[in-house]
Amino acid sequence: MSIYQGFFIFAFILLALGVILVVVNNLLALRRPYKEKLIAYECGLDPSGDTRIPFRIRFYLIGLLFLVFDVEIVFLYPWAIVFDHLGLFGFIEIFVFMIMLLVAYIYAWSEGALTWE
Amino acid sequence: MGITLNFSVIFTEIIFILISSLIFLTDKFIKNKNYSFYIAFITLIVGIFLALFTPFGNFTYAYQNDFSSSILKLFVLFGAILITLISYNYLQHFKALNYGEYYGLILFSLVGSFIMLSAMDLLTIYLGLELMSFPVYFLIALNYAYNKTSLEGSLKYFLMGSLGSLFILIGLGLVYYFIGTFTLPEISHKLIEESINNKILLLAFIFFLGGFSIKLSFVPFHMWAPDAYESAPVPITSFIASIMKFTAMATLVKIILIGFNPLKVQIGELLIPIILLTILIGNIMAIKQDNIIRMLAYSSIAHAGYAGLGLISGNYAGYSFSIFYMLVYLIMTIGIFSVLVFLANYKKDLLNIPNMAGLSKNYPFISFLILIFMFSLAGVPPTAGFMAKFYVFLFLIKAKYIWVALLAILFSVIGAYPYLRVLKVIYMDEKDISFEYKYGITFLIPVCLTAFLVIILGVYPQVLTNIIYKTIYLYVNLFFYPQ
Repeated sequence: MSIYQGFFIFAFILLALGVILVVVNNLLALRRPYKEKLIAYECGLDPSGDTRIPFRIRFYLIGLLFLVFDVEIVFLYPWAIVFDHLGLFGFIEIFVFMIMLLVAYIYAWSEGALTWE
Repeated sequence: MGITLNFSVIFTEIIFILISSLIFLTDKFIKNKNYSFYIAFITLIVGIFLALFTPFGNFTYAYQNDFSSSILKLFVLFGAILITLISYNYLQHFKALNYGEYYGLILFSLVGSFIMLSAMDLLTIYLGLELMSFPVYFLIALNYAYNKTSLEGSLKYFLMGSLGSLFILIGLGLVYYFIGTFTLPEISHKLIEESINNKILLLAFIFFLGGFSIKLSFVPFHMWAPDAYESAPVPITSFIASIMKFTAMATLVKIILIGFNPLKVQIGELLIPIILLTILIGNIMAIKQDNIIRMLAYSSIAHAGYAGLGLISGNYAGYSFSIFYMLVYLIMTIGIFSVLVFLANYKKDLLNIPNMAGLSKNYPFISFLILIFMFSLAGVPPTAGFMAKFYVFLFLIKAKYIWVALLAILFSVIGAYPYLRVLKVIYMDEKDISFEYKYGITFLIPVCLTAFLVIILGVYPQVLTNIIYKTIYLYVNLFFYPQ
């Protein structure tokens, strides 16, 4: 508790500040809404058309592949620090790990997951 | 507890992973579409030899290859060979399913099953559970070309499987906080020697039970089963129903016997309402179903309940008959789904029960096979299903839970109706079905072998029963004399 005391005070002040700002605003702010104030802003014109745009599934696929290879990189960082100490055994072990992810990479590439359209 | 690294002990898993990666990498570049079937089949035959001749030993403290895990792996491999054969038959007629990914994913799922069966460590069991389940989520969704609801079934199974993993991880955290290790024999020893509060470890086990009961489809978590089973390709449905449930039950028995041995009787008592509700709901919901695969999905919920009755009796023989029940269920399931593959190949709407009317007039062999498997599922005497139910109820009564056995027998009488209704529609309705058919050898081998085993095990189950009892005996030995 004595080490993290500063951190707890900092977190508590942040939380309290956020809560106070929102709650006090809700209680004390002046509210006089009328119809023209509440419509969506579209450079002064009347709003027209649909608010939805089609979502490209490619974004999801790229995010998924990024997640997998990012986790691989996260596993490589600690290995890179203690690489000397682990010797040949550690090198071959991380090599096997990377070969399995290389198989996944070649599979994703040959299925066309890395092209944009 | 040492780190000994005999790589020869995990040789089977290494070979399976390498060959499955080979299938994934090269399947797009090879012209012959059946190439991946031949490779997968040869790998499974090689896997049987490896399971028989791999040396016993430990690979670190977490993975142990001994007689019990070799025998259980042999059972899983036997089921996997039959499923691969019937998949070949299915894929000849349903050509839009991608062959390479199909067989490669089945091999990955089998590696996960092997890891679960030989694990001695709770974290390794969790790893095997995830590795076993993920390829199956994709395999269900492969059916998108033929059944658009397969994505829904796969997503439901995925979400409930993630919930199960969440429960298992909470249980792991509780176990580690109070005991300090994940290794199964040491958990039991610390429970006996030091005075750790039994109730907290019982709570941790309840979280594990929640996670495993999603795989075994016990009652509060059974809702994924009908949708996933109905919309998957038919051989994949038999893979989920037979091999995944067998592995999950065997692993649960191992966790209870080696890991939580002092809590056996309390675990049995808390399982009673879950298992009784499972049997009741599985049997009642199967009555109204018109699609035979949905009916078999609800019946598989009920059969997992019957196998769980062996877990309620806290004696060692009850646990061994729990595994025996799941093995008999594996054989029956692969048999009945192989017959359904035959029916689905030639006329897709034959999978609806009223459309099967009058099947016995022109196709007596197929009707006889359906008769054998339906009698075995219902528990009629000369078949293996009766023997398995008999032994499970016998050891439940020996453990003095007579009212539980009485209620379970009542519910199983309700459950005999769906199977007998199928037989009534096939044999006693007056309609005419005819279609061109051909018995390929990849259909005849699984079907004849499983029908033969069902009848033989119904009159002489002692061979398999003795083997499974020896497995449990070795687990108990491991608990009392850890190496």
